[in-house]
Amino acid sequence: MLPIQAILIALLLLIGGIYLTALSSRLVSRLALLSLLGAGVVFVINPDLTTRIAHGVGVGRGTDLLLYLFCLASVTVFLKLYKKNRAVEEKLTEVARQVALQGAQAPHREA
Amino acid sequence: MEQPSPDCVQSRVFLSRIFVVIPTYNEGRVLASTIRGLLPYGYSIVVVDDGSSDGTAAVLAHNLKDLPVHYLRHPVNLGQGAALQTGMDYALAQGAEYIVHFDADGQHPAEGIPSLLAPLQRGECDVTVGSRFLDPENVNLIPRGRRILLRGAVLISGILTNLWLSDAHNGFRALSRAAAQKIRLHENGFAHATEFLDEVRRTGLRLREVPVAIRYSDYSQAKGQPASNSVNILIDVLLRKVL
Repeated sequence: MLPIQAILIALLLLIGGIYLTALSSRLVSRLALLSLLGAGVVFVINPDLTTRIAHGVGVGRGTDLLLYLFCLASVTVFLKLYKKNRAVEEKLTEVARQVALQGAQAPHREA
Repeated sequence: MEQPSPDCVQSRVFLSRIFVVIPTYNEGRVLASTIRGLLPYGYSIVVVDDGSSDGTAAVLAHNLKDLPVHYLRHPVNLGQGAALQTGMDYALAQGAEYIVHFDADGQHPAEGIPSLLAPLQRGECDVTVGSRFLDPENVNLIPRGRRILLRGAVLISGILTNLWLSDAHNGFRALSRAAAQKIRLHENGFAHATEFLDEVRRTGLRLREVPVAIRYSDYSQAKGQPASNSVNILIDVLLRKVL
């Protein structure tokens, strides 16, 4: 095994460990992540596999295929985060609005 | 335009069912003079401080101390759209019959408010928006660069909302109570102007444009939205439509 393979596999396992223990507890997302990491490990051990899959779908190199997938994944993540951010923003707005309404000062009546 | 004397104003000022909502952010000094310009009309005035930074908030509170206004403060800065919505919520809770959106920096003419309200009061429509382009004399007040930008904004806003107006993004509007109850602004930033029109169309409210003259002072020019901001607004609006 090449040094880079050992490093990548160790990192993949580490990410998996962190995710499973600390982040999501939903079974679906755990299974999705496990299969993704599993595939990652397989590809690291067996780099030619990506190239063969790439050829199968008409892409020249395995690295190119991975790059395309990575781009798609990034955009998906971006959109998901944007949506989530908006939801958080709307909640913050609601809270701030309630604070403002509760602390509202009417004009002094003696005028 | 007739201006009632200050004496009779005092008694009416807290009773008016016409609420002028003024969102403000970090502009303590100019706001006080904007409010003084409004006082003779006897409207209820709602100032929504959109989380101004500490120094400005203190100046603002000090300047407003002796003015007969309703004062609300967002604990954090959210954006003009959010401040307007908060002001509308408050005004509705106070029993407002009509709500006017007014700018803090003095570019909206107080004497334009009665003309915005008139069609609402006659029951001819539910929402009025001020337009700088209906009266040729007003058009000449607009700096040339602004004019071109605004024409573009009108076009984009028309495409997005399918409401074809002569002006966009000037923020001088009036709503009946029923209209204010139907419209809900979720767009916190400046994209609320487009969202507002979207809401008008969605809820089937009757909208009319009323000619107004917008004053372009050095202050409002310096403070106002820079042209580059229109791109940001456009992106906000588009993302909102897609997601």
